[in-house]
Amino acid sequence: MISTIAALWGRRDLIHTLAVSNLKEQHRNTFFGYLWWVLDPLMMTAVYTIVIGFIRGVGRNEPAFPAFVMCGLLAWKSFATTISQSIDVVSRSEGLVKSFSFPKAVLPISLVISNQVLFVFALIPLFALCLFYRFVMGAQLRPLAATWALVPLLVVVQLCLALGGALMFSCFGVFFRDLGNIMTHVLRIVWYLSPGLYPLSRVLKADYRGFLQLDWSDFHSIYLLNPFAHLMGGYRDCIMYGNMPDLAGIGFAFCLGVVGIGLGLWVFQNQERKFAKLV
Amino acid sequence: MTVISARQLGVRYSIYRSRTRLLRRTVFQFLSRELERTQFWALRNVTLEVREGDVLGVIGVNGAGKSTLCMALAQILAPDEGQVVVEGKVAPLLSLGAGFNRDMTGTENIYLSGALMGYQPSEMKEMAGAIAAFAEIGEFMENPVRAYSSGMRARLAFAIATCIEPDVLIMDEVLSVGDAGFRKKSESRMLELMERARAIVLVSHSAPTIRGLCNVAVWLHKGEVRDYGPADEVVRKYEEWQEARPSAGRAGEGAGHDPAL
Repeated sequence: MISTIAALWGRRDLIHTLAVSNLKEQHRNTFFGYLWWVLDPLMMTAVYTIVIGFIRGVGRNEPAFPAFVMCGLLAWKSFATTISQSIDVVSRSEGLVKSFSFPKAVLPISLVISNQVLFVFALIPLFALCLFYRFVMGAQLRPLAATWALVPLLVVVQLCLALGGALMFSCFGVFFRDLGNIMTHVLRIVWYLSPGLYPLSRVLKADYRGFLQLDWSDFHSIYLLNPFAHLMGGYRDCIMYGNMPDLAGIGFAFCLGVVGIGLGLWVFQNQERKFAKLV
Repeated sequence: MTVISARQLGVRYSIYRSRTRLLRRTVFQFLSRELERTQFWALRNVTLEVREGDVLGVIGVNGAGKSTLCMALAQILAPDEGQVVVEGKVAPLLSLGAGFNRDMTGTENIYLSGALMGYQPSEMKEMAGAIAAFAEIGEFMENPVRAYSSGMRARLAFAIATCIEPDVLIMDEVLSVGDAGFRKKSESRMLELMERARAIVLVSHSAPTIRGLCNVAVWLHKGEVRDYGPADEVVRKYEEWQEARPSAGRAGEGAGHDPAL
């Protein structure tokens, strides 16, 4: 394990170069270019806000529902995109895998880094949206509170989760091509099981007894095993409301991420020598 | 000094190496214990040595295991049997331009290829000028590689792999690219590398190329070493063997097993 990490550290230039080329190729030859880094998150937020907020009326009690949605949506989209791209990152890089000798874990790692960079840039329109709601619409937000200083901490927790997931899924994806199809649905389920479009309190208050003739007594504790149940609330507390986030929940998510990274590196260490034959 | 040494090297492939490795198929194979029966050795019992200044030619018909040998010596494929020990930096040139990102410019790809072979950006910066000059690409260096002709891509890849002066250069059937002028230039570049005591492994179908450039040669047949020794002798025996064979189906033999296909 130590030697795997040391080998990856030795190839950090390669990770950097690959991450930069991921970022560069995405919007090259588009009219708006890098402007998409902030346009994309805004448009996604607009779609969800309109569909969920106005049609179903979920966000009536939120002072700034678009900002509320955006906090959860950005964190989730960054994670979900990383995971779904990681599943075929090795086979998409077939030319590299079959022509050069390098630790294959650099592929998911550079993918995670480039998606995290996009996420950090997406925080800029989110901040602007919060300021707009506070000063133009007069909403009860505190977007200039000192809790912003905790956002990097949340970003690191999210980075760990994405890294652990990307390492594992990029390896499994080489062996089972069905994984991409399965994960599309799994990721969608987890998104709706995360407090992205509704507040966490709504889940904890609700009574599900009798729904689908199942016993729902453990539902809350299972729901809280999802690290994004804590992370999304954490972003909202720090960015919108100026509250201290729930550090126990964030700590739990961090531990989950660290375990994921450990497992992912272990899986890579044992399987990566087979990649060149399989892709 | 020995740069590459391979001992009892063996590489095994499953026949079902199809692109779609489905869960269903893996489970099925596991249940029916079909797994062991569907494997074959692309390379077996290969023992050879490459010393500083050597140019090792690899010759053989299609499916002999030449590409697999290159990949194993470049440590791209992990051997299933035996071992490969390499001292120093290897520049694999197995398929020209495989490491290129088509959306990035030629200059950006110099840094990408360098990083893939383990060179720092600062080292590549010093060589970027020489690479651009040797590849004769001119102002296209700042255009994305997707706009390049296949000859330009090949020249850039060859220039990168040779300008960095690796300890070992491994080339699979790539000398035939480019026009006559570039071929001449690339051959003289290889002679330069040889003079500076770098080692080269060269796969070629062409007996004259092997005879002209290599001092040692290995003749592979169906994954095993048929002959290994001074290039002149090995190539002579190979040519005699080819003459003696019935000419029908010469190119097609074993093609279905060629992992490069």
